[in-house]
Amino acid sequence: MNHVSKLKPNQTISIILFLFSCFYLFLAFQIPDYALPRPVDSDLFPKILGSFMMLLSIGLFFEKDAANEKEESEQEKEEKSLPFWARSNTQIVVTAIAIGAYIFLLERAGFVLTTFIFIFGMTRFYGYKHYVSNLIVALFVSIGFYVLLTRGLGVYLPPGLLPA
Amino acid sequence: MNAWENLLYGFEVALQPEALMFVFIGVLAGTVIGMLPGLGPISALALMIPVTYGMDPAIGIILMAGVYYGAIFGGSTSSILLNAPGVAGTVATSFDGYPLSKQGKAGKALAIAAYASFIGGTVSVIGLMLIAPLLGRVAVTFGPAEYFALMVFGLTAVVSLSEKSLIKGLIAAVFGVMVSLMGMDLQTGTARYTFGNINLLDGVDFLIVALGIFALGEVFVLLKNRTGASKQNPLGSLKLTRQEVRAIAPPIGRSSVLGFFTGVLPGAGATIGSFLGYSMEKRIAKDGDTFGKGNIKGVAAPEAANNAASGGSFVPLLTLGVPGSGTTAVLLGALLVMGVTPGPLMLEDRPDVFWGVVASMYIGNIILLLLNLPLIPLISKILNTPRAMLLSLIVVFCMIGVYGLSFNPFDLMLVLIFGLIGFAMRMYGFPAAPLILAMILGAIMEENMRRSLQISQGDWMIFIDKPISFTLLILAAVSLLLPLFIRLIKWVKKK
Repeated sequence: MNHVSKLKPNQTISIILFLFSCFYLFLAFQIPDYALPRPVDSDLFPKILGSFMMLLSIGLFFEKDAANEKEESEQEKEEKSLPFWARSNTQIVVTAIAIGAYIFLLERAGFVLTTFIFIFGMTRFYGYKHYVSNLIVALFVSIGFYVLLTRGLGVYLPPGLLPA
Repeated sequence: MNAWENLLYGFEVALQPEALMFVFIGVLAGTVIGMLPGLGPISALALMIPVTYGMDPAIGIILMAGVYYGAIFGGSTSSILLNAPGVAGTVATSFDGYPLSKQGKAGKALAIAAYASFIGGTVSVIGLMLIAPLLGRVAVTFGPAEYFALMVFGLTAVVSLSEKSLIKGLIAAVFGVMVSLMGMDLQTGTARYTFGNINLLDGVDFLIVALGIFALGEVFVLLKNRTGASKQNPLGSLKLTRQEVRAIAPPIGRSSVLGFFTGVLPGAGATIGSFLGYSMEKRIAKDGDTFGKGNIKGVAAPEAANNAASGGSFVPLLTLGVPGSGTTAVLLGALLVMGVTPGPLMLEDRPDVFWGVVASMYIGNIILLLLNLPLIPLISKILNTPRAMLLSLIVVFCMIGVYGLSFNPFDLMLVLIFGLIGFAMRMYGFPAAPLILAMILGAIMEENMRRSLQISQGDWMIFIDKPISFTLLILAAVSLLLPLFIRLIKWVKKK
């Protein structure tokens, strides 16, 4: 993002927060009045908060960034030498997408299957190469938790494709 | 009933076989989670809350007290063995703990940590027993204006003490209050910030935020920092010589008392307590120059202070119902999930819970010493868990925890969103403790503010006319202005 704008991280965040507080305040003014007049209505506290956030975001714009840029650049160099799939940013994005997929599939494919695939797949993706122990842990955790929670603690978990 | 009788009653509750078993499970689970890189007491408590669903509140909270103590000890373990303190509270322990472990005396350092924690914990339990009822009596006289002022003070204290950047701390706190206001306003029934989504009408559950920020967010941080497995030094013997015991006894005593009072203050807590204990002993000790090179007093002092402060932080939580730190905020959330509302009335309404907690904190300490310490060589093997597996398991635990509470995939999406927010906060230096505290306090704060203004017919002077609320608000202002003032003095001196 650095080459797009010359803003420092604090300044970028402050602009985002400023816009956020504008939006927050806009919504605060949309909160309907209560039918009976009262000294304080639902909208007062949000209005105070939104104004505070706006002031703080302006303050943040002028705050100095912590000086850790050197370290970062070294880490970045190290990052670039890694293959694409092993880079930390790639791993974070893939993890977030995988969690999204987990949530989508949980009630459709069921807890055991989804959890098994998630643990086995993600552990492998993060670079663990012992397939057998990975398989055992993934099976043990997914089936173990299912049995413990549904039978032991009476907590419902979606069976999905499993026979009831 | 006087305090002793009450405590005996508490022990009766905490010594039931079922309670004992859960304290042990709690301590063990807490130690294991606290030992893992990046995960501290807050994450441990958040991850264990789902286990308490449907439990008797007295037993549930006993379990949580065990988790809390176990997690603190677990954090010390990884500080000593790996020089990788999971949380700020155990950073001071690593100063001398890790050099000791490099000398092959890790076992000794761990034993000292356990003894010091035990004594620190004991002192704090005695302090809690003496102070809590007194404070409780004062707190009964609090009206909404006083409560509002107290919460404002609690928040500003956490903000001003937690991190370097005051503005970032305040932003985190304001954001936390904003999140807590989402959903239906209980006083008027008006929906606020729900964007027409019925899933948001009940607001965002605190567990979602706690697990998102402190567990899932940590997973992203671990991915980003690629904290690999560090080399673990051999444990060595766990036994201490008589001379060593004599050397560490006075620092433990002093730091315990200091730590307790630090913990009682809102915002201060374990981190500041442990640093204060460490620096005090370094100054007092004749061999102060060997601190940092593996002095056993340098492990004893912060550990005693750390645990005593953790006990001390229970005082405002249990007597006022207002947590003074991120960790006690999560604990308050856990209590609320179990249907227990701490506060001045709890002492009268649920003495079994109140004194059960006090007694179980003590029993948690004993179990930590008797069962956990000998098991340390075994438990420390957990540090060898492959990072790759650990990360995927933490994600699954977060998902199970939230799904088991609401059975709603929408809430899981919220966990993911808060995980990403927590990650961004960590990356750009925003402290997370004010957020979770504000999230817990926000709605109650608003309620008390509105109630006060209703009593005063909209006159804001009510917060200033009442002496206690006025003093608390002044303290809040001072806590915010003091760091700025110190910076100004430094700047003037430089010029």
